Amino acid sequence: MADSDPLLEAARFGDEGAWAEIVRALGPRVVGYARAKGIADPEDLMQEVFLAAAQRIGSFEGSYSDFRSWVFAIAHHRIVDEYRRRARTPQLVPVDAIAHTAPSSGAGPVELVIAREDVVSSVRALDGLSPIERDVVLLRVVAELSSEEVGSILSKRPGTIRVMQSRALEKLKRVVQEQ
Amino acid sequence: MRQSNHQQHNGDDLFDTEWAAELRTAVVTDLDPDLVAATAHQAAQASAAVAASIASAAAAGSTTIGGNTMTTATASMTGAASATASAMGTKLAALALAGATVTGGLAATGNLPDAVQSATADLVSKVGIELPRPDLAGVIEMVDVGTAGTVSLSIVDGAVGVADLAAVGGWSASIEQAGAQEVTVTFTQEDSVITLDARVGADGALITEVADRTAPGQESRPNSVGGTVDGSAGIGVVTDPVELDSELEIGGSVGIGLGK
Repeated sequence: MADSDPLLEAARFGDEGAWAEIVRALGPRVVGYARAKGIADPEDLMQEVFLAAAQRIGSFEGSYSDFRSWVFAIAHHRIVDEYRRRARTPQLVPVDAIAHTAPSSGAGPVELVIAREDVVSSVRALDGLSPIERDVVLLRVVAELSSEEVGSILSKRPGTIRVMQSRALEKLKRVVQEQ
Repeated sequence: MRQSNHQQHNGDDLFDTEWAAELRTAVVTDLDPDLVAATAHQAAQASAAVAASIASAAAAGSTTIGGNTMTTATASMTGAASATASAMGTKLAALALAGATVTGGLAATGNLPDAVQSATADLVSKVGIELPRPDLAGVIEMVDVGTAGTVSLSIVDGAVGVADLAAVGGWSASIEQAGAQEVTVTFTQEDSVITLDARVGADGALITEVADRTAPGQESRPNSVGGTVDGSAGIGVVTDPVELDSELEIGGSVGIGLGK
């Protein structure tokens, strides 16, 4: 069996310093991923993700790289759960908020982010992608995961991920050129 | 501080573009130190509590142990914020646990509850001690799939799998394991289709949904039902299983997914 990462071993037994290092390293990207996915409180989701990881780290085996991928898998599933919860729970949104934040039509999570006037064009460009392409792009660019790791999280083959990424890149190039 | 993972990428991929850099800058920002501290504290307490509960469960199954040593060690780790755990060293803690369990504990003979046995075996294996592992993951939930049959699901180490399946006569079933955390069982009978989707939620709980997928215009079936059960729920047993249909199609990995 491969040697375990000392940082993860310390975290497994409740070393707060180890967890602080992990949160500092991975937390910003977890928050960034959640933010780009339109989660209302990405910091809160990040806390939930690390709490879930801590509760299950006893059964985790693998390298630090595996752990990072695992954390983003938890984040992804947590976000999917949030979408499902939203779908089941009609949201009451003040008219002012709609006028300020909502896109014209067909608003998805990313659209809710990109509708903000202060959002940069790079985030706005995601609007042209399909939901699965957005996931691929965000997990690769923001989380900096490999095609294999993204494929594992999204239950797709690495080759499929690479095709999706290539397709997304072409779309993004067109959008950026138009801007 | 860990550096972020920089993979090898093709020259034409997203990582080399200004657009990607701008996207990262836009959404990835440093965390408030207080938020980092609070999150780390919460996580440390949770992981310490789990480690301590595993050790305590193992100790409870022991007869003659250097039990005080192990109990003291794990109890001190519960104070996660302290430096005790670090100072003690994880291998020492695992050895203490191993000593406690191997000396006379039920873990040595594989008689702890499956979840505890598995976790204990995982823990002590890190210091080269192999304990028996449960032969079969605990069946934690039996789901009634409408009129089509029943499926017994299990969760081991965060992975969901089909432990048992019984189709009512006339129905056939197929299993699709979509990764470690999601499995779909589809029951079909002529034009009727009923599916069971099961997945592991982010909190480790098992989430199931039974849905009638029969195409419109075909025979109607009961409406969808769904539910969530905690992973610690009681053990479900197929009390009166029906013989599997001869046309049963088994796809993917049937049974227990270990997710490792």
